[in-house]
Amino acid sequence: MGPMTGTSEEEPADGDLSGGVRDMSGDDAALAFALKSLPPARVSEAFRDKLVRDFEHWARARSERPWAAVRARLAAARETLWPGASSWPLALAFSLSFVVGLTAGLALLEPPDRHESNEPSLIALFDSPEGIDLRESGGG
Amino acid sequence: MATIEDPDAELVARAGKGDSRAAEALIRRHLPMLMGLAQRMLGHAGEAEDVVQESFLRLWKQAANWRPGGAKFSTWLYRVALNQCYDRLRRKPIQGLDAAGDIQDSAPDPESALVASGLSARVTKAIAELPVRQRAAIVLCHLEDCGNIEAAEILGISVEALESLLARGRRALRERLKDLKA
Repeated sequence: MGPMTGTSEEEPADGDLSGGVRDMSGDDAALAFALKSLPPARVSEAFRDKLVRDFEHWARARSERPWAAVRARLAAARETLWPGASSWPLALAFSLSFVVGLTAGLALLEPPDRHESNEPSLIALFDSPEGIDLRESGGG
Repeated sequence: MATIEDPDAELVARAGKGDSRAAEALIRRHLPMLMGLAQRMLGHAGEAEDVVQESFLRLWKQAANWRPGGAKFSTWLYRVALNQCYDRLRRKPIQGLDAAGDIQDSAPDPESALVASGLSARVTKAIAELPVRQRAAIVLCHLEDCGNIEAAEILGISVEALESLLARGRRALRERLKDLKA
């Protein structure tokens, strides 16, 4: 057999664009028969085993990498919480609940606002304009 | 969520987590067609094995990050293999078609085997002489039983362009094999 060098497309002058849908002629039947005469590719057991060993080697190397164990645990946790889900909905849900929880917690812990009290604050007293006697404004 | 039901999706996900049984199942499922594609494209069993081995290595690396929903995984895998075949053919001419005359052990008798062997060697040589893309189209659609839509996806072209390639490839093959009809 000669060397295979056909890497360029040789466009025929009369390009037939409808060949894929035309009926089978005698020539087509002969060609189909010739193509069917080709035996399927052989695959040796040894090569198949080699591919499996490649996979095992890859899996072992991956598990030994830094972060691989952490990622594997996170993935396992994700599968437990929400089997089959992608990472981003879980991350989004976790982030939202964290923000809501933080906001609610801060709101509960914050002391009551003094401005809402009925009693005048010290700041309000000092800010009062001159000439107004607060004791007189009380009507006493 | 997946828009196309991908029969490989579960196996790929498990292989991505290091499950060797899933990997073996994927190898069993796709090895024959990948090998057929690479051998017919390159005409050299050793080169074909290299292409298949590299394709599976890429599969394992991709498996952990694979998200179903787009093209089928097998389409991606065959495209990887085909692109490697293109690269190898571009880099250097490949000598020898050592897989050309391979014949299955299940041939009915020695005489039929001899005839079939001669015929298959002629057909293999004729396919090997086709331009690369026509060869890929013929191999995928006529030898590996791909549907036109999947073959077009693997080749990265439209179905119309695939049909054009097939028509030109068939015509070239008919020309080269016309004396077989007599």
